[in-house]
Amino acid sequence: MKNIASYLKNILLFKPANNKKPFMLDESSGKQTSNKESSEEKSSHKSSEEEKTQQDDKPSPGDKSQEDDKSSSVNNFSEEDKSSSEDKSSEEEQSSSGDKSSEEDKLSESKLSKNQASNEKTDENSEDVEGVSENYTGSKKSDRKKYRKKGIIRPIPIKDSEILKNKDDRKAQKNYDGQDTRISKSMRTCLEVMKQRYSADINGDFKIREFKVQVKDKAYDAFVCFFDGLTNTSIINSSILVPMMTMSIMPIDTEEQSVKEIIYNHLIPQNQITICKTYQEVVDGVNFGGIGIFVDTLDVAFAGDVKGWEHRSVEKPETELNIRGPRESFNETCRVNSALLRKTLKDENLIVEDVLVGVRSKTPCSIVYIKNIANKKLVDEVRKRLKSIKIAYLRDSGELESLLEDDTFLPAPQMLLTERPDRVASYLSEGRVAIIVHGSPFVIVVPITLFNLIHSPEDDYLRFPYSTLLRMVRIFGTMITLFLPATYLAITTYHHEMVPTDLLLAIASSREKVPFPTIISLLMMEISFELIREAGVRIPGPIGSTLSIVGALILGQAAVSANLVSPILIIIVAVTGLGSFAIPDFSLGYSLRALRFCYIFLAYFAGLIGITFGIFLHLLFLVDAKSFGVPFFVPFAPRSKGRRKNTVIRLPIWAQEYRPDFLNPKDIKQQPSISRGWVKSEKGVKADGRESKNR
Amino acid sequence: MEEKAKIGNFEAFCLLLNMVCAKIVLDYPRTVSEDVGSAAWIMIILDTIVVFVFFAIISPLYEKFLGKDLIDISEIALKKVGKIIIGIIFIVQFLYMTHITLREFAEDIKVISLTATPISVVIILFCIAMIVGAYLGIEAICRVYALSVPILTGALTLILMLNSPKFDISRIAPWFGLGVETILKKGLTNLSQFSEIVVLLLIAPFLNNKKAFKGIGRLGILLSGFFLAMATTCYLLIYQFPTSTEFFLPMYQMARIISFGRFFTRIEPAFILIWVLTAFLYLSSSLYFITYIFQRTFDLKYRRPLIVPFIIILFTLSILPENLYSTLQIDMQIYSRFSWIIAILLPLILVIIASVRSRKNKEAGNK
Repeated sequence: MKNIASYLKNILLFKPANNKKPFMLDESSGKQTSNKESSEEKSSHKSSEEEKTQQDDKPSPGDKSQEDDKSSSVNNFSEEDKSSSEDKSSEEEQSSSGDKSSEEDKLSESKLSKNQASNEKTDENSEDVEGVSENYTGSKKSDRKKYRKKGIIRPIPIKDSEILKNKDDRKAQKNYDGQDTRISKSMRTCLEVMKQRYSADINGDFKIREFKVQVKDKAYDAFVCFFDGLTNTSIINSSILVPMMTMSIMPIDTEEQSVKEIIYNHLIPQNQITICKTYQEVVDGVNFGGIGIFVDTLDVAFAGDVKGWEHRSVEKPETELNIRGPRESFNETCRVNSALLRKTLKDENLIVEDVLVGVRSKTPCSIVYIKNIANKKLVDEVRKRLKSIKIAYLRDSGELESLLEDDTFLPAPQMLLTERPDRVASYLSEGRVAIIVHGSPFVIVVPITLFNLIHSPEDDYLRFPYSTLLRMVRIFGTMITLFLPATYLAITTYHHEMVPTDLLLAIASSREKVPFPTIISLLMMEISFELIREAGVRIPGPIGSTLSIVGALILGQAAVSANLVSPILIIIVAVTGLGSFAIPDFSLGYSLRALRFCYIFLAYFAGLIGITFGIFLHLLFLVDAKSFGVPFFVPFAPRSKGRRKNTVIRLPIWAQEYRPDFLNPKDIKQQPSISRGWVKSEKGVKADGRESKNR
Repeated sequence: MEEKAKIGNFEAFCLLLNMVCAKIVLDYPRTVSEDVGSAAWIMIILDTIVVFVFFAIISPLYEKFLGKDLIDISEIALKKVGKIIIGIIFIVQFLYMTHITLREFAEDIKVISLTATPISVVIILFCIAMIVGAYLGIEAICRVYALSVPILTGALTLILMLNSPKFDISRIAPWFGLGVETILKKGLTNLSQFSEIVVLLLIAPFLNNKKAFKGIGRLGILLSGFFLAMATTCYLLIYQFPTSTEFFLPMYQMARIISFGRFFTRIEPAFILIWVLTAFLYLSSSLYFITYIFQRTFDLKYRRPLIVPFIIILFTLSILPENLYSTLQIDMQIYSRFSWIIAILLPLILVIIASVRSRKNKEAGNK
């Protein structure tokens, strides 16, 4: 029994049956070496790497200023190091609990841990020679001993690998992220902190400039830090460095003012300066094209706005083209976008409320609304959702869209993303809310209904009969995209009787030589069309459109000649493609293109019944959806009180007296019932209330 | 737990209209013409009046219980045990009604289009739609009603109007069909065709404007009666009794004979949309009501877990009849005869008892 038990144990521990020592493949030579040798080699390799990193950590002889800084910092902290090494256990407790220890303590801790680590490493090296190192096995101590005795090497599970296992680093990082320490009065400490936070020794674009500022006949050490490329260096020179270094000598009545006040009031003639009490505030400013100004003996720092990065200028919109109306589009800069909206609306009630999104990126986002029109609950809801987002980096409004939307799996967008300031301005004036994301030329508008997605910005600038006609065309295009291929398939497969005899004969004769069933031909052509479209988008520059046209023409012609598809099918696919191009909203277009395939399969399964089944489910999901609390099919399902003057059809602008009722705006009326003062009303009363003589 | 649904007046009206009139696209015009011959339209008008009077009696009594549904009222009237019994009766009623309609619609679809498909597959297709509808709840279903009922009504009217060249007034003679006595006798059992108005007492707490209950009911009954009468009359104007008893799907038959110029000679598949959409709406709301009544009867916290068990029961029940004929027999011989007692008479009795009891309780409280 004992033998059986030990045999089973061996199997469970992956021990070879013959008890031979397992072999490892030496990576460098390709030869097989024993376990002991390989571990020795690894440990030696590791120690050499450590030496190398230690050398790297040392300052290069060429960088004199850095060397000086470091030596001074070492001097500053030498005493603290001593004290910290004396009371090791108490400091460990502090670091583990994540209390609000000062930045100096943190620095000393990190140094201490480095020393400890180097001491421990010598011990570890000796252990490694004997067997498998702890890092490699990644198992508990007892297990390690057991394996060492048996000379077993297990494959290293990825979760235990060295890359992910460095828990000390994670812990340190966690403590580091969680802390928001107050600014030290010592300028040297501040300098060290900033250098450490920005890894100034390896970050090439992070610049620090030390200088002296004279206040009340005393020279104070000071430094500024900023990112080269993100900031405008001429502003830094003219508005910060020159005044601080030269104007401080000028006589100023400073008897009753403190040093902080003198610097803030007299020495930094920059229009946007904030007084920061914590490092994090300065860091946030510097990360977003600002400058941090630290002065010795002050427990605060100054963060100035000196943005000066390269960005795209305001250009023509590329995705929402129009013939009538303004031709400006948003760009990637948050403030430019908000300025474009202000320029369009010219309303002091327009609020641009800043929210930072992204735990690491702290991307500036702005909630934009008109305070005496937009519903407070809606604004609160947008603010609540935006502030609740915990994401590391936010780069684009597309990402924010998927984080904010009510239903992730709904086959339709629940927000409107537009690059046109005039369109956003029009929605804001109705009582909606916009969200600008820094770095994205698309602004989010919420809440929306399905009907907003078929509107084009041009609708407002055209005379009402034309825009109504265009909307009808777009709805027709939407229907065609969704249903035409499926209906063709359903009719040719299930409902032949529906087709008039002449047409039926034409279809039948064109399909006579085609060997495939309709579904195969249809899918073949639809997929080819999608391929051409995708390739057309991805291929750079002018080749794209050429390829699309040539590809489509040649492919279609060749497919018909080769009797793979019938000519009628080519027409169906082409018209479907055209219909999809008529959908004004990019995201809705994608949704319908994808759903088209669902309808094709349903039509193949059950003909028109299948299509109706699809419509029923599609409608159910759409009517159940909400965009920030507003039902997606409002004002039709549910029916809202207001008149439907700008949904499927669009009435003249003078007839649109009310804002959409479902938005519940603070001010429902946007213009009087007689908005054209010169016109007589139908009841024979003039706009000013006088009775018309021509009744 | 679901949030409490909110239903607008128009949506509630559409729900009522579709629930009552769904049978037009089934075999209703044929069955009534079988019952009373060419005087079917008179019987429908009489039935509408009777149901309207019933509702006129119920609605002022119900106004005391605004915000309460039929199950609450039955609890007030007959205490908790009574509520459970009444709840079970209504569940059975809805199960009976739904499984027959499910089978009939599936058979119709099989006849119209999916001739080679097994009936179980067609039923499963309906069941999926029912599950989704019942899962999303009455609010979503009612919104689809609000969107589709105007289209369905328009399409139905179009079918009737496109047939107008074939109308012949002499075909509805003799005016009293199989006799006045038959009209009155059959009219009583045919009150069952309005059984679905009971849903109004179930959705009453969901109404945005609870006082609109009376208006929705009145308009719903009148318009339902109008459409039922119009469809039957148009059918009889084209197919005289007894020919009218021969067609399995009267409305489909009417759609088939439409010829609109040289090009559109067979457009009936286009009307499949009406058939199937009506069926989906009717069946999914029925399944919703089954689960809702069950939840309310037994005071359950969740409704959605009941959907799958009930759909399995419905599927099983609907494939039990051997063929379409036996389904129709079940419908005509049992359901049509007795359904009105549960759907119309029982709520009236319950509301009367509840109002008497609540008055007594009030008086006792005052003393």
